[in-house]
Amino acid sequence: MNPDELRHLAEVDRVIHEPARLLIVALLAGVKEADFLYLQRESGLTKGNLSSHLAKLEQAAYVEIVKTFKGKIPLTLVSLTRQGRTAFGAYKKGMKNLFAGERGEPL
Amino acid sequence: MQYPDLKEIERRPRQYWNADGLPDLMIGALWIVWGAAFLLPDLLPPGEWMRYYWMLVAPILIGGGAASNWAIKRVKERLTFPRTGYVEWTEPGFLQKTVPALLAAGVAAGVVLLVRQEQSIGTVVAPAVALILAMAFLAASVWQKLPHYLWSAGMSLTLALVFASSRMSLARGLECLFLVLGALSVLIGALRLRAYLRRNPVTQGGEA
Repeated sequence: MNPDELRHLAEVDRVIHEPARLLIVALLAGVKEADFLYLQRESGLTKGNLSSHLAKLEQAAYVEIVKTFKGKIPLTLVSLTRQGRTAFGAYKKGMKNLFAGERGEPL
Repeated sequence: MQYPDLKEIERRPRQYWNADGLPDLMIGALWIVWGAAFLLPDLLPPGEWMRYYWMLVAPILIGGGAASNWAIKRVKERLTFPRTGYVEWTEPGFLQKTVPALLAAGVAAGVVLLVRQEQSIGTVVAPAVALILAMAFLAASVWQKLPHYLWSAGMSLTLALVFASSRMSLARGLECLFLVLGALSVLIGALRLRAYLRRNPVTQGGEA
């Protein structure tokens, strides 16, 4: 690994790089918005774990969380912000370059 | 070092949209209506109404696509989202919506004009449409990892071969194509919906 690749590795976005958050962001990248139940089922995370990761993503302004009600049932809607989409795009590009250097496989 | 396939994860919401069988069911119903629209002129006594039939029916059939999308969303709100969660697609832009629609309308109008000038061309159109549909189903099956589309691809290919060998007219071919594919799609959709509802009972309490 050359110094440039090592620098890229050190600069990787750690908010997105964490596996559970990467899964959440990748799932949200394909949609306008999704609810908590969908993300929980698709990610396999517990409610507490998912809430904690969403809070970290919200703190980084990567996701927007809207808490509302559908009838009497609480509904939490999550969407990727413009900043989140940009960060995910940059993350994918960075990792692609890194892995391309290692074995030439696309992400 | 193993890295997750992010493209596969990004594709999951699209697969989720098709997981309950509702899109197959609704689109199948729409195709049956299209097939019936081609069949109806043969069943009713000929008369002055025939001149205005397609002028009235064509916009209804085109609008049927939007109506089926609306219906899929409404039924999902009642059946799917309370069970396994809600997703909403990013709306395509104006150009992404209108260009394919205008292109399809242009191609359809062109085909109708060609067939009016030269009737024999009509016998080629039905197998061609069936073949294009077969390829579209195959592509959807592979790219979106939806193996049940292979049934529709196989049926479309069979129909394309039948139409080509029997030299069926354009109206008969499209009527047969949409009725058969519609019935198959409704059947597949109904079976998938039943399996989905059994697998995912509504959970009481918690988030919607």
